[in-house]
Amino acid sequence: MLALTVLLLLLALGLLYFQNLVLHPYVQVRFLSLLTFVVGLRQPLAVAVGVAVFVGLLQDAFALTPFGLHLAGAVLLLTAARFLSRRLLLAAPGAQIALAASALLLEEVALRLVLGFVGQPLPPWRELLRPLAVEISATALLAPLMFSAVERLNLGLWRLGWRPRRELR
Amino acid sequence: MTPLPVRTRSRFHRPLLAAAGVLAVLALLSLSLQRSPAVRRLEGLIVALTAPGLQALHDGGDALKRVWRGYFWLIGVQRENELLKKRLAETEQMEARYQEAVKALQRLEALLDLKRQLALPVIGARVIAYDPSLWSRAVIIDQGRSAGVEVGQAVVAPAGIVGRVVEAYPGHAKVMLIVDRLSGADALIQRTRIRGILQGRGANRSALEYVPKSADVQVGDVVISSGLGGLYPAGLVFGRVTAVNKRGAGVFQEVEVTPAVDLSTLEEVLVVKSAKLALTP
Repeated sequence: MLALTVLLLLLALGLLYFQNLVLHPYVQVRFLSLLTFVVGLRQPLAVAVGVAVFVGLLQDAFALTPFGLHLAGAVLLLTAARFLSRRLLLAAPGAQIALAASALLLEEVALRLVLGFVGQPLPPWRELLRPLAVEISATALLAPLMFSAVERLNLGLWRLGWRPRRELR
Repeated sequence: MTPLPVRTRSRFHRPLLAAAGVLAVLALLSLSLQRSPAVRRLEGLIVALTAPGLQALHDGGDALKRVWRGYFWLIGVQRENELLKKRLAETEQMEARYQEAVKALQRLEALLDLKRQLALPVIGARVIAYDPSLWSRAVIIDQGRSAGVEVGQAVVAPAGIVGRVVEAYPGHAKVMLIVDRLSGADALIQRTRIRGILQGRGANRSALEYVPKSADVQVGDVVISSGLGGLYPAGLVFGRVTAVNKRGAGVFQEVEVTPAVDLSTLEEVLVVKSAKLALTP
Protein backbone atom coordinates (compact mmCIF):
# COMPACT_ATOMS: atom_id res chain seq x y z
CA MET A 1 0.00 0.00 0.00
CA LEU A 2 2.90 2.31 0.75
CA ALA A 3 4.40 1.70 -2.69
CA LEU A 4 1.11 2.59 -4.34
CA THR A 5 0.76 5.74 -2.21
CA VAL A 6 4.29 6.86 -3.05
CA LEU A 7 3.71 6.26 -6.76
CA LEU A 8 0.45 8.20 -6.69
CA LEU A 9 2.13 11.09 -4.86
CA LEU A 10 4.85 11.14 -7.51
CA LEU A 11 2.16 11.08 -10.18
CA ALA A 12 0.50 14.08 -8.49
CA LEU A 13 3.80 15.95 -8.40
CA GLY A 14 4.40 15.06 -12.06
CA LEU A 15 0.96 16.36 -13.00
CA LEU A 16 1.63 19.65 -11.19
CA TYR A 17 4.92 20.01 -13.06
CA PHE A 18 3.28 19.08 -16.35
CA GLN A 19 0.55 21.67 -15.83
CA ASN A 20 3.10 24.33 -14.91
CA LEU A 21 5.75 23.64 -17.50
CA VAL A 22 3.80 22.43 -20.51
CA LEU A 23 0.18 23.52 -20.37
CA HIS A 24 0.38 26.89 -18.63
CA PRO A 25 -0.91 29.44 -19.61
CA TYR A 26 -2.88 28.11 -22.57
CA VAL A 27 -4.65 25.09 -21.09
CA GLN A 28 -6.11 24.89 -17.62
CA VAL A 29 -7.05 21.36 -16.58
CA ARG A 30 -7.60 20.24 -13.00
CA PHE A 31 -5.47 17.14 -13.12
CA LEU A 32 -4.86 17.11 -9.38
CA SER A 33 -8.53 17.36 -8.47
CA LEU A 34 -9.30 14.62 -10.95
CA LEU A 35 -6.57 12.40 -9.52
CA THR A 36 -7.93 12.91 -6.00
CA PHE A 37 -11.41 11.96 -7.14
CA VAL A 38 -10.36 8.91 -9.16
CA VAL A 39 -8.11 7.59 -6.38
CA GLY A 40 -10.95 8.12 -3.93
CA LEU A 41 -13.27 5.95 -5.98
CA ARG A 42 -11.56 2.58 -5.76
CA GLN A 43 -8.30 2.72 -3.87
CA PRO A 44 -8.02 1.89 -0.15
CA LEU A 45 -9.09 4.70 2.16
CA ALA A 46 -5.61 5.25 3.61
CA VAL A 47 -4.13 5.68 0.12
CA ALA A 48 -6.93 8.01 -0.93
CA VAL A 49 -6.56 10.13 2.21
CA GLY A 50 -2.79 10.34 1.71
CA VAL A 51 -3.20 11.47 -1.89
CA ALA A 52 -5.95 13.99 -1.01
CA VAL A 53 -3.89 15.57 1.79
CA PHE A 54 -0.77 15.73 -0.37
CA VAL A 55 -2.59 17.21 -3.37
CA GLY A 56 -4.44 19.72 -1.20
CA LEU A 57 -1.31 20.92 0.58
CA LEU A 58 0.68 21.02 -2.65
CA GLN A 59 -1.84 23.29 -4.33
CA ASP A 60 -2.17 25.42 -1.21
CA ALA A 61 1.59 25.97 -1.09
CA PHE A 62 1.70 27.28 -4.66
CA ALA A 63 -1.50 29.34 -4.54
CA LEU A 64 -2.27 32.63 -2.87
CA THR A 65 -5.60 31.57 -1.42
CA PRO A 66 -5.86 30.89 2.35
CA PHE A 67 -3.76 27.86 3.23
CA GLY A 68 -6.11 24.91 3.66
CA LEU A 69 -8.60 25.89 0.98
CA HIS A 70 -7.40 23.39 -1.59
CA LEU A 71 -7.05 20.81 1.16
CA ALA A 72 -10.73 21.34 1.95
CA GLY A 73 -11.50 20.89 -1.75
CA ALA A 74 -9.50 17.66 -1.89
CA VAL A 75 -11.23 16.29 1.21
CA LEU A 76 -14.59 17.18 -0.33
CA LEU A 77 -13.69 15.39 -3.58
CA LEU A 78 -12.59 12.35 -1.63
CA THR A 79 -15.83 12.32 0.37
CA ALA A 80 -17.85 12.64 -2.84
CA ALA A 81 -15.87 9.81 -4.43
CA ARG A 82 -16.38 7.45 -1.46
CA PHE A 83 -20.07 8.31 -1.34
CA LEU A 84 -20.60 7.74 -5.06
CA SER A 85 -18.47 4.61 -5.38
CA ARG A 86 -20.74 2.70 -3.00
CA ARG A 87 -23.92 3.66 -4.80
CA LEU A 88 -23.15 3.72 -8.52
CA LEU A 89 -21.56 1.54 -11.15
CA LEU A 90 -18.41 3.16 -12.43
CA ALA A 91 -17.34 0.84 -15.22
CA ALA A 92 -18.72 2.89 -18.10
CA PRO A 93 -16.59 5.87 -19.23
CA GLY A 94 -19.75 7.96 -19.53
CA ALA A 95 -20.54 7.41 -15.87
CA GLN A 96 -16.98 8.29 -14.89
CA ILE A 97 -17.14 11.53 -16.88
CA ALA A 98 -20.54 12.51 -15.46
CA LEU A 99 -19.49 11.77 -11.89
CA ALA A 100 -16.19 13.59 -12.23
CA ALA A 101 -17.97 16.64 -13.66
CA SER A 102 -20.50 16.62 -10.80
CA ALA A 103 -17.76 16.29 -8.18
CA LEU A 104 -15.66 19.09 -9.70
CA LEU A 105 -18.71 21.34 -9.86
CA LEU A 106 -19.50 20.53 -6.24
CA GLU A 107 -15.90 21.38 -5.28
CA GLU A 108 -16.08 24.69 -7.14
CA VAL A 109 -19.35 25.71 -5.49
CA ALA A 110 -18.21 24.66 -2.01
CA LEU A 111 -14.86 26.43 -2.26
CA ARG A 112 -16.48 29.61 -3.56
CA LEU A 113 -18.75 29.49 -0.53
CA VAL A 114 -15.76 29.06 1.79
CA LEU A 115 -13.89 31.92 0.07
CA GLY A 116 -16.96 34.13 0.31
CA PHE A 117 -17.33 33.20 3.94
CA VAL A 118 -13.75 34.22 4.78
CA GLY A 119 -14.15 37.50 2.91
CA GLN A 120 -11.94 36.78 -0.09
CA PRO A 121 -12.82 38.88 -3.17
CA LEU A 122 -14.29 36.63 -5.86
CA PRO A 123 -14.89 37.04 -9.57
CA PRO A 124 -18.58 37.18 -10.44
CA TRP A 125 -20.15 33.98 -11.77
CA ARG A 126 -20.97 35.49 -15.17
CA GLU A 127 -17.27 36.21 -15.75
CA LEU A 128 -16.11 32.78 -14.75
CA LEU A 129 -18.94 30.71 -16.16
CA ARG A 130 -17.46 30.06 -19.59
CA PRO A 131 -13.83 29.31 -18.60
CA LEU A 132 -15.07 27.30 -15.68
CA ALA A 133 -17.45 25.25 -17.83
CA VAL A 134 -14.66 24.56 -20.34
CA GLU A 135 -12.19 23.68 -17.58
CA ILE A 136 -14.53 21.34 -15.74
CA SER A 137 -15.74 19.68 -18.95
CA ALA A 138 -12.20 19.18 -20.24
CA THR A 139 -11.10 17.78 -16.90
CA ALA A 140 -14.11 15.48 -16.64
CA LEU A 141 -13.51 14.17 -20.17
CA LEU A 142 -10.12 12.98 -19.00
CA ALA A 143 -11.67 10.97 -16.16
CA PRO A 144 -11.63 7.58 -17.99
CA LEU A 145 -7.97 8.15 -18.86
CA MET A 146 -7.07 8.96 -15.27
CA PHE A 147 -9.16 6.04 -14.06
CA SER A 148 -7.30 3.72 -16.41
CA ALA A 149 -3.90 5.21 -15.44
CA VAL A 150 -4.51 4.61 -11.73
CA GLU A 151 -5.77 1.08 -12.39
CA ARG A 152 -2.73 0.32 -14.53
CA LEU A 153 -0.44 1.66 -11.87
CA ASN A 154 -2.06 -0.66 -9.39
CA LEU A 155 -1.86 -3.59 -11.80
CA GLY A 156 1.76 -2.83 -12.58
CA LEU A 157 2.65 -2.95 -8.91
CA TRP A 158 0.75 -6.22 -8.58
CA ARG A 159 2.71 -7.74 -11.46
CA LEU A 160 5.97 -6.59 -9.93
CA GLY A 161 5.05 -8.48 -6.80
CA TRP A 162 3.87 -5.71 -4.53
CA ARG A 163 0.91 -6.71 -2.42
CA PRO A 164 -0.96 -4.93 0.35
CA ARG A 165 0.60 -5.99 3.65
CA ARG A 166 -2.62 -7.59 4.91
CA GLU A 167 -2.56 -10.01 1.96
CA LEU A 168 1.02 -11.06 2.70
CA ARG A 169 0.17 -12.24 6.19
CA MET B 1 -10.48 -23.00 21.98
CA THR B 2 -9.17 -19.54 21.21
CA PRO B 3 -11.63 -17.06 19.77
CA LEU B 4 -11.23 -15.90 16.17
CA PRO B 5 -9.19 -12.69 15.88
CA VAL B 6 -12.09 -10.54 14.69
CA ARG B 7 -11.49 -6.84 14.92
CA THR B 8 -14.63 -4.95 15.74
CA ARG B 9 -15.05 -1.35 14.82
CA SER B 10 -17.54 1.06 16.19
CA ARG B 11 -20.24 2.05 13.71
CA PHE B 12 -19.24 5.60 14.50
CA HIS B 13 -15.71 4.99 13.27
CA ARG B 14 -16.11 6.54 9.79
CA PRO B 15 -18.31 9.50 10.78
CA LEU B 16 -15.87 10.29 13.57
CA LEU B 17 -12.96 10.09 11.16
CA ALA B 18 -14.75 12.37 8.70
CA ALA B 19 -15.63 14.85 11.43
CA ALA B 20 -12.01 14.88 12.61
CA GLY B 21 -10.86 15.52 9.04
CA VAL B 22 -13.27 18.41 8.55
CA LEU B 23 -12.24 19.89 11.89
CA ALA B 24 -8.57 19.62 10.97
CA VAL B 25 -9.15 21.38 7.65
CA LEU B 26 -11.17 24.14 9.32
CA ALA B 27 -8.47 24.57 11.97
CA LEU B 28 -5.82 24.87 9.24
CA LEU B 29 -7.90 27.45 7.36
CA SER B 30 -8.44 29.38 10.55
CA LEU B 31 -4.72 29.35 11.38
CA SER B 32 -3.95 30.44 7.83
CA LEU B 33 -6.32 33.40 8.07
CA GLN B 34 -4.59 34.39 11.30
CA ARG B 35 -1.29 34.20 9.41
CA SER B 36 0.13 31.65 11.81
CA PRO B 37 3.93 31.19 11.57
CA ALA B 38 3.48 27.40 11.75
CA VAL B 39 1.31 27.43 8.61
CA ARG B 40 3.86 29.65 6.86
CA ARG B 41 6.62 27.23 7.81
CA LEU B 42 4.58 24.32 6.47
CA GLU B 43 3.93 26.22 3.25
CA GLY B 44 7.62 27.08 2.95
CA LEU B 45 8.57 23.48 3.57
CA ILE B 46 6.29 22.19 0.81
CA VAL B 47 7.59 24.78 -1.63
CA ALA B 48 11.19 24.00 -0.64
CA LEU B 49 10.59 20.28 -1.20
CA THR B 50 8.72 20.49 -4.49
CA ALA B 51 10.01 23.62 -6.23
CA PRO B 52 13.57 22.34 -6.87
CA GLY B 53 12.17 19.54 -9.02
CA LEU B 54 10.15 22.05 -10.96
CA GLN B 55 13.19 24.27 -11.27
CA ALA B 56 15.36 21.41 -12.50
CA LEU B 57 12.77 20.41 -15.10
CA HIS B 58 12.38 24.04 -16.06
CA ASP B 59 16.13 24.41 -16.53
CA GLY B 60 16.33 21.12 -18.42
CA GLY B 61 13.46 22.14 -20.66
CA ASP B 62 15.03 25.53 -21.25
CA ALA B 63 18.35 23.94 -22.17
CA LEU B 64 16.64 21.62 -24.65
CA LYS B 65 14.64 24.52 -26.03
CA ARG B 66 17.81 26.57 -26.44
CA VAL B 67 19.56 23.74 -28.25
CA TRP B 68 16.58 23.20 -30.54
CA ARG B 69 15.95 26.85 -31.27
CA GLY B 70 19.52 28.06 -31.24
CA TYR B 71 21.10 25.39 -33.38
CA PHE B 72 18.50 23.55 -35.38
CA TRP B 73 15.75 26.00 -35.97
CA LEU B 74 16.18 29.40 -37.47
CA ILE B 75 19.60 30.20 -36.16
CA GLY B 76 19.90 33.89 -35.58
CA VAL B 77 16.24 34.78 -36.14
CA GLN B 78 15.32 33.68 -32.65
CA ARG B 79 18.14 35.67 -31.13
CA GLU B 80 17.28 38.71 -33.18
CA ASN B 81 13.63 38.42 -32.21
CA GLU B 82 14.52 38.17 -28.53
CA LEU B 83 16.83 41.16 -28.84
CA LEU B 84 14.20 43.24 -30.62
CA LYS B 85 11.56 42.30 -28.06
CA LYS B 86 13.90 43.25 -25.26
CA ARG B 87 14.77 46.54 -26.92
CA LEU B 88 11.10 47.34 -27.51
CA ALA B 89 10.26 46.67 -23.87
CA GLU B 90 13.21 48.77 -22.75
CA THR B 91 12.19 51.60 -25.09
CA GLU B 92 8.64 51.56 -23.76
CA GLN B 93 9.93 51.72 -20.24
CA MET B 94 12.36 54.48 -21.16
CA GLU B 95 9.63 56.43 -22.89
CA ALA B 96 7.45 56.25 -19.78
CA ARG B 97 10.36 57.37 -17.63
CA TYR B 98 11.12 60.18 -20.07
CA GLN B 99 7.54 61.41 -20.00
CA GLU B 100 7.64 61.27 -16.25
CA ALA B 101 10.84 63.33 -16.17
CA VAL B 102 9.35 65.92 -18.55
CA LYS B 103 6.25 66.32 -16.38
CA ALA B 104 8.40 66.66 -13.28
CA LEU B 105 10.56 69.31 -14.92
CA GLN B 106 7.50 71.29 -15.94
CA ARG B 107 6.14 71.27 -12.43
CA LEU B 108 9.39 71.97 -10.68
CA GLU B 109 11.21 74.90 -12.26
CA ALA B 110 13.95 74.78 -9.69
CA LEU B 111 14.91 71.32 -10.79
CA LEU B 112 15.21 72.06 -14.51
CA ASP B 113 18.80 70.90 -14.69
CA LEU B 114 18.33 67.87 -12.60
CA LYS B 115 18.63 64.61 -14.41
CA ARG B 116 16.35 62.08 -12.89
CA GLN B 117 17.59 58.58 -12.90
CA LEU B 118 16.41 55.38 -11.50
CA ALA B 119 18.98 53.81 -9.23
CA LEU B 120 17.34 50.85 -7.63
CA PRO B 121 19.13 47.96 -5.95
CA VAL B 122 17.62 44.84 -7.49
CA ILE B 123 17.88 41.05 -7.35
CA GLY B 124 17.45 39.03 -10.54
CA ALA B 125 15.09 36.06 -10.26
CA ARG B 126 13.40 33.49 -12.45
CA VAL B 127 9.78 32.48 -12.33
CA ILE B 128 9.63 28.75 -11.73
CA ALA B 129 5.98 28.07 -10.95
CA TYR B 130 2.55 29.53 -11.45
CA ASP B 131 -0.46 29.52 -9.18
CA PRO B 132 -2.48 26.39 -9.96
CA SER B 133 -5.70 27.98 -8.73
CA LEU B 134 -8.30 29.99 -10.62
CA TRP B 135 -9.05 32.07 -7.55
CA SER B 136 -5.72 33.81 -7.17
CA ARG B 137 -2.78 35.00 -9.28
CA ALA B 138 0.71 34.36 -7.94
CA VAL B 139 4.06 33.01 -9.05
CA ILE B 140 6.98 31.38 -7.27
CA ILE B 141 10.45 32.80 -7.96
CA ASP B 142 13.80 31.10 -7.41
CA GLN B 143 15.22 33.69 -4.99
CA GLY B 144 14.34 33.88 -1.33
CA ARG B 145 15.41 35.19 2.04
CA SER B 146 18.96 33.90 1.56
CA ALA B 147 19.35 36.27 -1.42
CA GLY B 148 17.86 39.21 0.45
CA VAL B 149 14.28 38.94 -0.77
CA GLU B 150 11.80 40.17 1.81
CA VAL B 151 8.05 40.40 2.10
CA GLY B 152 6.70 43.61 0.59
CA GLN B 153 9.40 44.12 -2.03
CA ALA B 154 8.28 45.08 -5.51
CA VAL B 155 8.85 42.77 -8.48
CA VAL B 156 9.30 44.26 -11.94
CA ALA B 157 10.00 43.12 -15.49
CA PRO B 158 11.50 45.19 -18.34
CA ALA B 159 8.03 46.24 -19.53
CA GLY B 160 6.65 47.23 -16.13
CA ILE B 161 5.48 46.19 -12.70
CA VAL B 162 4.74 42.53 -12.02
CA GLY B 163 3.66 42.47 -8.38
CA ARG B 164 5.05 42.23 -4.88
CA VAL B 165 6.53 39.57 -2.62
CA VAL B 166 3.96 38.22 -0.17
CA GLU B 167 5.88 35.23 1.23
CA ALA B 168 9.65 34.81 1.45
CA TYR B 169 11.01 31.31 2.07
CA PRO B 170 14.73 30.50 2.41
CA GLY B 171 15.31 29.74 -1.27
CA HIS B 172 12.11 30.86 -2.93
CA ALA B 173 9.47 33.56 -2.69
CA LYS B 174 5.81 33.90 -3.55
CA VAL B 175 4.83 36.96 -5.58
CA MET B 176 1.30 38.34 -5.71
CA LEU B 177 0.69 39.62 -9.24
CA ILE B 178 -0.91 43.04 -9.77
CA VAL B 179 -3.95 41.31 -11.31
CA ASP B 180 -4.71 39.30 -8.16
CA ARG B 181 -7.96 40.38 -6.56
CA LEU B 182 -6.20 41.18 -3.29
CA SER B 183 -3.68 43.46 -4.99
CA GLY B 184 -4.18 47.21 -4.73
CA ALA B 185 -1.75 50.10 -5.30
CA ASP B 186 -1.82 53.83 -5.69
CA ALA B 187 -1.49 54.72 -9.38
CA LEU B 188 -1.89 57.63 -11.72
CA ILE B 189 -2.63 58.34 -15.33
CA GLN B 190 0.63 59.65 -16.73
CA ARG B 191 -0.94 62.15 -19.18
CA THR B 192 -3.33 63.87 -16.79
CA ARG B 193 -1.88 63.01 -13.35
CA ILE B 194 -5.26 61.68 -12.25
CA ARG B 195 -4.90 59.31 -9.34
CA GLY B 196 -6.72 56.15 -8.44
CA ILE B 197 -6.23 52.75 -6.89
CA LEU B 198 -5.12 50.03 -9.27
CA GLN B 199 -7.09 46.99 -8.19
CA GLY B 200 -6.49 43.47 -9.51
CA ARG B 201 -9.45 41.83 -11.24
CA GLY B 202 -8.22 38.28 -11.68
CA ALA B 203 -7.29 36.61 -14.99
CA ASN B 204 -5.01 39.16 -16.73
CA ARG B 205 -6.93 42.33 -15.92
CA SER B 206 -6.91 45.14 -13.44
CA ALA B 207 -8.93 48.33 -12.97
CA LEU B 208 -8.18 51.87 -11.89
CA GLU B 209 -10.75 52.57 -9.23
CA TYR B 210 -12.04 55.72 -7.54
CA VAL B 211 -11.56 57.87 -10.64
CA PRO B 212 -14.33 60.52 -10.83
CA LYS B 213 -16.52 60.57 -13.95
CA SER B 214 -15.41 64.12 -14.65
CA ALA B 215 -11.74 63.06 -14.94
CA ASP B 216 -10.14 62.91 -18.38
CA VAL B 217 -9.19 59.30 -19.03
CA GLN B 218 -8.77 57.90 -22.53
CA VAL B 219 -8.13 54.47 -23.95
CA GLY B 220 -4.39 54.09 -24.45
CA ASP B 221 -3.37 56.24 -21.49
CA VAL B 222 -0.36 54.90 -19.61
CA VAL B 223 -0.94 54.07 -15.94
CA ILE B 224 2.11 54.40 -13.71
CA SER B 225 2.82 53.92 -10.03
CA SER B 226 2.63 57.05 -7.90
CA GLY B 227 5.08 55.78 -5.30
CA LEU B 228 2.65 56.54 -2.51
CA GLY B 229 2.32 53.88 0.09
CA GLY B 230 5.87 52.75 -0.61
CA LEU B 231 4.78 49.55 -2.35
CA TYR B 232 6.15 50.27 -5.82
CA PRO B 233 8.81 52.72 -6.99
CA ALA B 234 7.27 55.86 -8.50
CA GLY B 235 7.09 56.22 -12.26
CA LEU B 236 7.14 52.57 -13.24
CA VAL B 237 4.50 51.37 -15.70
CA PHE B 238 1.53 49.31 -14.56
CA GLY B 239 -0.14 49.14 -17.96
CA ARG B 240 -2.42 50.92 -20.40
CA VAL B 241 -6.08 51.86 -20.21
CA THR B 242 -8.00 49.52 -22.50
CA ALA B 243 -11.60 50.48 -21.68
CA VAL B 244 -13.41 53.40 -20.08
CA ASN B 245 -17.06 53.31 -19.02
CA LYS B 246 -18.75 56.39 -17.62
CA ARG B 247 -22.30 55.11 -18.01
CA GLY B 248 -22.43 53.03 -14.85
CA ALA B 249 -24.12 54.06 -11.64
CA GLY B 250 -22.19 56.02 -9.00
CA VAL B 251 -19.73 58.87 -9.09
CA PHE B 252 -16.74 56.94 -10.38
CA GLN B 253 -15.98 55.74 -13.88
CA GLU B 254 -14.87 52.19 -14.70
CA VAL B 255 -11.34 52.19 -16.07
CA GLU B 256 -9.97 48.85 -17.25
CA VAL B 257 -6.19 48.57 -17.30
CA THR B 258 -4.26 45.84 -19.09
CA PRO B 259 -0.84 45.19 -17.53
CA ALA B 260 2.17 46.15 -19.61
CA VAL B 261 3.77 42.84 -18.71
CA ASP B 262 2.31 39.58 -19.98
CA LEU B 263 1.81 38.02 -16.57
CA SER B 264 1.01 34.59 -17.98
CA THR B 265 4.39 34.07 -19.58
CA LEU B 266 6.81 35.57 -17.10
CA GLU B 267 10.36 34.31 -17.13
CA GLU B 268 12.95 36.67 -15.67
CA VAL B 269 12.01 39.36 -13.16
CA LEU B 270 13.76 41.80 -10.86
CA VAL B 271 13.02 42.11 -7.16
CA VAL B 272 13.43 45.75 -6.12
CA LYS B 273 15.08 45.93 -2.72
CA SER B 274 13.95 49.49 -2.04
CA ALA B 275 10.87 51.36 -3.21
CA LYS B 276 12.62 54.71 -2.81
CA LEU B 277 14.01 56.44 -5.87
CA ALA B 278 17.54 57.73 -5.75
CA LEU B 279 18.01 61.16 -7.31
CA THR B 280 21.42 61.73 -8.82
CA PRO B 281 22.66 65.09 -10.13
